[in-house]
Amino acid sequence: MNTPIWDRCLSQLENELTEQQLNTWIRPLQATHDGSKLVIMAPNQFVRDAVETRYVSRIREIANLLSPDLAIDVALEIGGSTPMPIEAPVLDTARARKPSSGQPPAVISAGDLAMATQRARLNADFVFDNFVEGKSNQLGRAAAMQIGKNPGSSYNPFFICGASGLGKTHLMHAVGNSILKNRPGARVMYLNSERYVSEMVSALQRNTINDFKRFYRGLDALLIDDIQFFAGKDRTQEEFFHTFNALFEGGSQVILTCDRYPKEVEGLEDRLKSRFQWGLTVSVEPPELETRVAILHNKAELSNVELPSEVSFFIAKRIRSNVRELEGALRRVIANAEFTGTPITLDFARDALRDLLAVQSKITTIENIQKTVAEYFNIRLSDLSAKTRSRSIARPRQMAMCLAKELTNKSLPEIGQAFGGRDHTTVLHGCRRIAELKEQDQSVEEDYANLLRTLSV
Amino acid sequence: MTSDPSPVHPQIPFSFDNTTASTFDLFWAGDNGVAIEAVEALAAGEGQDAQIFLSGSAGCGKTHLLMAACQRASATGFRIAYLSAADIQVAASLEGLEQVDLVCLDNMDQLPRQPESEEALFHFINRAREHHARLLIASRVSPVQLRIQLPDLATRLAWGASFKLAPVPEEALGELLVWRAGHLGLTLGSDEVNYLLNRFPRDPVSLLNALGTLDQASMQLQRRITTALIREVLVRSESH
Repeated sequence: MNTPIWDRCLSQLENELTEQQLNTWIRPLQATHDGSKLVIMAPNQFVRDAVETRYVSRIREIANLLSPDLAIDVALEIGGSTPMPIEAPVLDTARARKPSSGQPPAVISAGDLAMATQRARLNADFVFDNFVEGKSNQLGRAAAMQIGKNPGSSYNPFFICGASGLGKTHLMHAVGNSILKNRPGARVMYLNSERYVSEMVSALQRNTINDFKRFYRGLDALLIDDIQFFAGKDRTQEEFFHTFNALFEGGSQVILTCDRYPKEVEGLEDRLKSRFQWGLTVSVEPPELETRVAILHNKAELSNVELPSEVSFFIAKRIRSNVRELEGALRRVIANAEFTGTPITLDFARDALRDLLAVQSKITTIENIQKTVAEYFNIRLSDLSAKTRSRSIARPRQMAMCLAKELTNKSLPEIGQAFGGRDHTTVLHGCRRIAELKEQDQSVEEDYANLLRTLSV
Repeated sequence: MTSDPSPVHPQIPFSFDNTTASTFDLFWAGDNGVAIEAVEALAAGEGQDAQIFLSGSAGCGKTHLLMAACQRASATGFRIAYLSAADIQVAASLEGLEQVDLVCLDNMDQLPRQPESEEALFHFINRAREHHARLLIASRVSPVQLRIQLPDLATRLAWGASFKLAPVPEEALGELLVWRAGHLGLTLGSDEVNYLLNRFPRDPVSLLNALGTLDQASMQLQRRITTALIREVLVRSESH
């Protein structure tokens, strides 16, 4: 909350500075006023330094002009009021004890649960009920629900990997929320890897590293998101290694997410990689069509919007890469519908998403698919259209055909034509073959997923 | 002093015009009604969007809308910050910005092509989400076309609603000038409009800058805007 004198300073500065200067340097500031002292808080050092160099003398001048009876002293600091503190957690080590295991859940009020959720830095909106299950994530979801009921015993550590925007974080929060709901006194903490690193650095600087260690090693469940950003940070890995051991030995649950399998993270110590594989590693894949449709309906419902099935299929067929993009497209359709007061129909959605879909279709042409597949398998582009039937060429060709069917709106004869004038039945056979091989051979499944990801960005 | 400048006039640099703030009122809506309404709601802390991405070619009004959002949010009592993505090479510029209620990130297409910049922005968006800070992002191209290297950042940029702003069509530039002049309390006749259109680059930014300068000149000289006044101001600006 600003003070009247600062508000008046602001009004004056609005007449003197350009909009860009105001919005970059002045409006991010906040002020408190105590007697003759006006304390101005900048959000970071970067803004603070700029204000000190360029504007603070003028601010002092204005403040004193506005308050002729009292000499105003202006001080610049870093900080400001915020709905959630960003400092290191309150290292309440006295509470960092295990709750007696096997106790039935205590009766807990909604307010207390909300407090516990906030303390754990969990997002209360991410629960199992609104996590849409599909083939792409059912193993992860089932395991996560199990852990929510019995943390520390069933799968430890629980390692969720997958590309960005597929629901890893949602799943992780859902476990945390479930643990808290079942054991209200449990010490749960969610944070992303960046925060873990910055809190550790801050603890080192403040000489409170022992408190930091005690705090994290005393938890019942530690949830760290995007562990790939630990790569190359040796001091953090060292500290985390010991925290991991302490938690694991104490029967506490560790849940980690990553954009790839542990063994694939370069710059991560081997001893960590091996520990991450002790428990259960699940991979979350891009959702298939039906799941994408269900996700859209789920999100539309949350926005109190009625979404006809033909519209959800239309969007889901065209936006395949990740859930965030799907959500973005839906938000656009909803915004258009709210603005025009028009019900959402197929034509309406097509019109609202025209430019977005044009970009998508430009990226996923058959030519682009062929080029990407040829590069991926290290074969010549011309091989895909040639008569060659050797497996090293035929398999990539079938995969490219299958991707063309999945990612473009071209017909089977058109696809066949683009692959050296082949018949549509050849395309159909190729697609079926790849579907079979994906079930039987993990490497085919991985190749397909990698290509799909590359082409769907 | 009354000699006519050459008909094909180069773009004239005008000084900053502080009298015409970039507000929502002064934004020519055209076909961009949906985007404007969404941005207004975001600035006011209303609606369901936590993040909006605006794309569009140079001069279509992205920065204007960002400034308008800053002004509106600030007047509503929110703490705001505006930052050009070109400056994100310094991760320190994003530190702590999640404490701000509305953060506007302009020129996302100029985000330095360095892993550190992308990572810093990725972490910032995570912190902003966690702290419920709202984000308004602008770029010449859509999130997908930005070709961000870090997938975690790419998906986060595509998270909220994205709108492509339609530029003011060339045939509407005259109408735009008359409309904006009306907001400034000026009357602009068709002769003056044609004169401006024939002598200035046909883009809204150049034309509106020219109008702003003419407005100031008209006030200082206590004269109506006429082709004669435009000529005098052009000559004066050129001689500077």
